[in-house]
Amino acid sequence: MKYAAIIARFILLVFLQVLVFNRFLFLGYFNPYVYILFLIYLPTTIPRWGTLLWAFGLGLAVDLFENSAGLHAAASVFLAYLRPVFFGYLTRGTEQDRSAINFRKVAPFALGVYALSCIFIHHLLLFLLESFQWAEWKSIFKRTFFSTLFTFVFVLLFQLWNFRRNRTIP
Amino acid sequence: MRYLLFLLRRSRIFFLFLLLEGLALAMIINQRSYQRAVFINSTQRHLGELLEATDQFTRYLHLREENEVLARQNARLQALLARAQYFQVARGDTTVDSTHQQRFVSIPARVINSSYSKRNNFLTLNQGSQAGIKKGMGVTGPHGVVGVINRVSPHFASAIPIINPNLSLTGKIANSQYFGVLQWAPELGHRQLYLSDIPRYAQVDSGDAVITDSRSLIFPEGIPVGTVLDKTLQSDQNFLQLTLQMSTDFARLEHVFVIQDKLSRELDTLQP
Repeated sequence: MKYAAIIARFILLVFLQVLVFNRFLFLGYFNPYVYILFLIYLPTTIPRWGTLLWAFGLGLAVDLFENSAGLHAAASVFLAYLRPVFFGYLTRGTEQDRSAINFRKVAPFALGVYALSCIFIHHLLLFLLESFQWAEWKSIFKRTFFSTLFTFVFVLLFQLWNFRRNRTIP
Repeated sequence: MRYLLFLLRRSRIFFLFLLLEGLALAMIINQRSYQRAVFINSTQRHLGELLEATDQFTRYLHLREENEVLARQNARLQALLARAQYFQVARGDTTVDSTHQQRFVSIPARVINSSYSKRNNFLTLNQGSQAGIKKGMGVTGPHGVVGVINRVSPHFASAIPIINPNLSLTGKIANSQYFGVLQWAPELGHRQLYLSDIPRYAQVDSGDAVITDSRSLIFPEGIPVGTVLDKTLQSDQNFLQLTLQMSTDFARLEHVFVIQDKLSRELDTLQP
């Protein structure tokens, strides 16, 4: 049952990314990569090797449509590996266990900081690998910064929706 | 040995991470250096079909506009038919009866997937080798130059657009015939282009038209590229770098033509 929900989310986010968000452009230049919502909210009860494999599959699925072999896969696996580093934000000052975090019970601010860190790490590696040369570091940081903000807006919208849904259905 | 096994077991997550990253990087490098990632690219038939199906939705939204552009282009092409032909002169003053022979053939195709906001942009077309498309052929749109074919499968083809830093073409200023190198850089955005290596004594004004040059061996002469926006002196102080406003808008490109040069092989035997 748990896996059915995860698979449904996986498919939904890949299709949303490919069919909708890849055509969404801010200033004609910055693309939101909302599909990493899947990795941000992937249950922490899944073993770490499972998380890495999910991330690899997710990145590969997006790569398939973007014609960018391996690019999103590399960035997603990197995020999946580093994700536990940011769990500290979520468990600080609460009773929650690191190995079984309930994202719905985390304070909104902590969740925002956690999501922002995840998005930044992912986008930085993505744009670094895309240009593949340090000489363009200015453009890399500019794109990382604005795309991170842009993705974050969509993540916030999702959180708002999730938050309200919890209120109406206790 | 036991310790080694213990170490492997303890850091198995890290090794899995390294393995997956290595796989992804290998794919990236493979696609970059040989342009032939065989199993992941959208020229694959099934993905191509899926992309085409999603494109059918968006196509109708632009139908009216596209029709207008095509009608205008038809009118222009009919007026220019002689340019796509060459004179066949037999010897001295005698001419063969059929003086005009076809040199350039254009194959109509539709863009089913494209990007214009990335660093390495690309296009996917819905025609492939069954329509006669080969690697290296030029692609033009209703407003001007688009790019060059780089991969072909039986039903689909992918092209590198001029808004990709890996592609450079020859272009010239229409009224003064000075030619230079057309090259794009990511900081320009998808509406602008550089034309560099123009001699500094050349008279260039903003608004001058830039067209393709017959030196490029890919496009017929005279296909519009854009108009001059701005000029700066290059760092070597001898040449000008012009910034162009491109005539093709890659954000809404739909119908394109792949250009086949029937004399390209003959030209290749002559020029090194």
